[in-house]
Amino acid sequence: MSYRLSSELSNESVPDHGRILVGTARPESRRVLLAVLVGSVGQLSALGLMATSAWLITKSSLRPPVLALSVAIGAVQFFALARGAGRYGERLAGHDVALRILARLRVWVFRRLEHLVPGGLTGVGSGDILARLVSDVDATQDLVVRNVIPLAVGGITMIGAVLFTMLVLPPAGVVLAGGLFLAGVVIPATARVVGRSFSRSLSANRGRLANQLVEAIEGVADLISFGAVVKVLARLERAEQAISRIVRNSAVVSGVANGLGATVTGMTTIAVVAVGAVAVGDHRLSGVAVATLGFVSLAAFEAIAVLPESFARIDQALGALKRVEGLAQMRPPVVDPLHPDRLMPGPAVLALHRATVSYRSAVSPAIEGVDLELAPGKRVALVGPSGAGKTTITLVLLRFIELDAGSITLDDVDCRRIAADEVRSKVAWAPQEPHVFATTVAANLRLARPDASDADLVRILSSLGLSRWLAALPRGLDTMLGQNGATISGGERKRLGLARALLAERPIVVLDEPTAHLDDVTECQVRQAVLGATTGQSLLWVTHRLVGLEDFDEVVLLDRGRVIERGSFTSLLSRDGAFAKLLAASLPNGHLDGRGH
Amino acid sequence: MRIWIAVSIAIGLGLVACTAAQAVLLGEIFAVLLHPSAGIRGIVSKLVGLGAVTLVRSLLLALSAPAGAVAANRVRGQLRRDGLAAVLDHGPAWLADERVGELAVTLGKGLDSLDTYIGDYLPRLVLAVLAPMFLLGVIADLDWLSLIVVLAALALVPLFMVLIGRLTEERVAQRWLALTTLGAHFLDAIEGLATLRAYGRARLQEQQIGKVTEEVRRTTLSVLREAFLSALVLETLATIGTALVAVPLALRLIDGQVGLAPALSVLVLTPEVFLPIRRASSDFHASIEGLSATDRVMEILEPERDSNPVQVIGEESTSKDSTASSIELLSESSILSVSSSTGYEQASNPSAPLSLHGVSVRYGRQAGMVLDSIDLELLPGERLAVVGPSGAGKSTLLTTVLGLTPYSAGSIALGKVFQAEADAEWWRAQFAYVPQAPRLFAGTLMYNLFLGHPELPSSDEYLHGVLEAACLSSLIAGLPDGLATEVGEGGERLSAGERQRVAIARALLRTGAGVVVLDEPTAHLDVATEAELAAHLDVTIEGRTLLLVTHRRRMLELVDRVVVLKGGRISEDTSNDTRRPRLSPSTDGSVPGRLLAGSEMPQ
Repeated sequence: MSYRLSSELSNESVPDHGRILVGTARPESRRVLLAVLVGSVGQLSALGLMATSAWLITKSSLRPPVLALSVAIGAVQFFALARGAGRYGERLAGHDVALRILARLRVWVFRRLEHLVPGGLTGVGSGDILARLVSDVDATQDLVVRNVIPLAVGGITMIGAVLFTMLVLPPAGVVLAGGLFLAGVVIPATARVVGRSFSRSLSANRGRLANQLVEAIEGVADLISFGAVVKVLARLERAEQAISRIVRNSAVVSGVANGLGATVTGMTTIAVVAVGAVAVGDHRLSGVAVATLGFVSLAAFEAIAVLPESFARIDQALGALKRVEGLAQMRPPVVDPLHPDRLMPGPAVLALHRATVSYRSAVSPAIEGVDLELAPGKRVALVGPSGAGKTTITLVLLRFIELDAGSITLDDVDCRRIAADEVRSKVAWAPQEPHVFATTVAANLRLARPDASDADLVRILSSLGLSRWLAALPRGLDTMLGQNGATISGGERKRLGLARALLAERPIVVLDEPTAHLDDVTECQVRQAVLGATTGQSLLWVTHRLVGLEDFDEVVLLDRGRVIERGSFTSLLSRDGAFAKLLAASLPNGHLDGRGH
Repeated sequence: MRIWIAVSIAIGLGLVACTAAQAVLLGEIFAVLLHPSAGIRGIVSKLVGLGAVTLVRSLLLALSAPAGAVAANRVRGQLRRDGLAAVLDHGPAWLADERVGELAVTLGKGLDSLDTYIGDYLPRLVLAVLAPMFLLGVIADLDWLSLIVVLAALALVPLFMVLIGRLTEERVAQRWLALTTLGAHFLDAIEGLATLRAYGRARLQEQQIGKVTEEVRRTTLSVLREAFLSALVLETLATIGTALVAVPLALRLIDGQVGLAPALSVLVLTPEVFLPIRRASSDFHASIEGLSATDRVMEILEPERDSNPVQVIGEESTSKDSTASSIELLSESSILSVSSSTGYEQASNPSAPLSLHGVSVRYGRQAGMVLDSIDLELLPGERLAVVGPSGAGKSTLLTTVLGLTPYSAGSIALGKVFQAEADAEWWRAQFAYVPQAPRLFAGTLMYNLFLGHPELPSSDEYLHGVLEAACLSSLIAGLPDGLATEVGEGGERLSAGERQRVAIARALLRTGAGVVVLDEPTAHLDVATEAELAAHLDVTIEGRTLLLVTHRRRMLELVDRVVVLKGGRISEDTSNDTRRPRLSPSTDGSVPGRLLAGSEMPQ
């Protein structure tokens, strides 16, 4: 079974960079504004503190009456307190809004994936998805706290410092404006451009590394038994070295930027003082004012010291954001109609007509011209070798993937006119590899029917031969199952999937290889249980095993995506065609045929 | 790594010295400017001096980031390497109780955030002590009384820090827990997304994710409210300190008790005293994730590895170097030495019987026995099938024999070598194993086929035979890139049946292994392919010992002996009379034989 390649872009307009974030952040824009405001008060207070302190001290050296200083003394104390309070408020408000946006973004990401899995997503393993959700979405949180808010606050502080200096001595104001612009904008922005490729490949390499980690941990049994641990560690080492190289190179870039920034900072302050000194020499300005300006200049650069880091991190955050937003560009394999038809409750006939699906990566269609009818009370066995397209048919029936030609109908209504969820609400499905969630046995089953009673669960589990397994569980139905159901065997996992499908009590039941991991006895028991539990429902039994097929109304033999023979078990046998020959070949000695009833 | 942190600290101290020089020069410059009548020419040389200090400072600053990065790289790389090696070393039995998502997040993202801790926090932590001491010395030289004020403010720092630190530490740890749970929660939800959609439960899970994230927000904010308190206190102490220094200085200036130049210098220096402490504290909060991840890695490393001593009786020099640590194994030469030391050639002759005596296995949390004193002996070249109902412990029996599952009682031996005493690498090299759900890895088909080999083979004659035997030849012939085809992560580009066949070929290529261990090798295969595979296997594993778990009758024809396992005990042990001497492969050209072999279908 292979899923449709989905890296293709949709025809709809590709969202602009950052649109998703802006969209999720818009409802929170007031909170963003508040954080910027509070932060600016804090930073401007720092400027005020240095300016008033410098003024106070220099003025004092001229020995004025103490009373003339009292306003300045009060101001010094006020600024001293406002500084910390403003900064505290900015941080809290910033993180609060970032986490609010994060919650929205996470739900958005999951909602996107909801239309893409399965069938719309390949080339992206679970490890990469994990990296996306945890790493990338978290990085967008940084974008708010470490980029947007500090940049806005820094900008306001710069303007405040320049305006003040302009008022006192215009040329010094020009010098300061130039210096701040260089150190706060030009140098960091240049460093960002130079370092862009680093941060981009850093995200990519970290994503790759995350994939490798998941793959290695999940495949630990294979790696150990094949003595390939060393090989995988060597692979990790290569990935790690690539990351180290990028980290080091980008540190060199930011080091150079820091150095240049410090040069500009120092030289600007010297220039401001020099310009001031000339003004003092011309008796245009007092020494007190020059000292104040000098301290304002120092404090202004101190205030924008965070900007280089903001710039440096912006690409890292944007790169992650871009990857998250990439999800928006993936086309859902099945698109719901704008005005879907409503369905009648109760049984329904689900049918395929000349159904064809071609995967982009494959040369020949996965299924071609397949007709299939699932009517109430009808039991169909879909038989064929691995790779014949059996699983593709189940995904089509569940509206996880769209047909390329032909049609799928529900009670003669084209499914393209019905919401996919509506179609699925008619179908109970047990996939080839059922997923067991990291929760209790009961919760794992109840997701198929939330109102099922404990008795229902126990009844279904025992009908599938799981009563002894259940009895052995330490907390019965309330036992937690591990990641991926690691504490349960393949056969048990399979039957948990079947139990879900039976519990759902939906008109149509689609079971993909329901007996693959089971022994003959259990297989027979499970088949009988399924057949007994689905009386009156329509059943599609997908299998590559030619066992117990006499219990089905129709046997459909699939090979290379095409139906090559169909009919009842007996009619197929008597026809002496492909199916009969196949059956004969699979039971080379008569005595091995112990399964016939 | 220590050297690089020391370099970072030295750079930091240099920077502080520059700051002090700048403060002194600025004070002197402003003092001159305040009394311009005395002539202001003198400040030119001082401005030049200030420029020189600026340049030195810039140079030091430029060096500081790379020094930190180099140190961070070393630590992160080492922890990641050791962490993954330990996870893989603990094996599947240990992993059953762990969450793959959480482990991957810890080793991936968690350790990535360690960069800040190593690169910035550690050197700054040292500087937080050294730099204020240096600056206080300078202030003392300039003005005694100011020193006392600054010291008083400074004395409050540890007091508040201890109070606040105690308060936040535990909650921050809780937050990390919440975040990692969320990581695992996400992976779980996404892996089961198809199931959730099929049953119309995805919406609900969506709300769940919103709820979990909201929970994280609330926890995080309650922590931050306290965590940022420390920053608030630090910053306020710094600003209040400045104010407290400025006002008395002003009053004393009026009285002429202190000079203007030193007063201004002290004013510049006072916030600088607090700056290193503030920085260290802010970095601490930024790098807390990295620290938590480090703790987790330490926990992973914790269950000490058994350094299985090599005790191979009668077979000396099997492996001396394979007890070397995984790190050393990374060098190419030692990889080769492992291959040559694992008894690669000698083991292909399965001259030793495999025997189990009273082997019992119990899973940690489960009450019952998975295997209950199993006695089993396989003669060299014998073929044994284990059958039984699902959950009887068949797969566990195989993983126990392989040494992947620890057993609580009994012994397992190959000839005279006991598993408990043998070198683990050597032991596993004796087996060619196909797990029930084999895993493939991102890379080419070739990479996956030769997973168990240190290097690719020079001759591919045997390879072609194996591919034929595993019914892979026509699949590979149909691929444009052949054996160089990328299989995708976890082999996602192949079907389950194809993956299984690749895993079978991968096992058959382990020519050094005398015992072939197959766990339901044909579960995903159709009958015709199964028949073909069985016939090929019969020939390919000729002479080797076979331990097989199967539910399929066709596979039973391969074996000499069948053991029935029920509830962890052997309930029947019979020789198999259905085994025929040599089966004619069903690829004899007959239509049915090729029909379902898929790849064999005539175009």
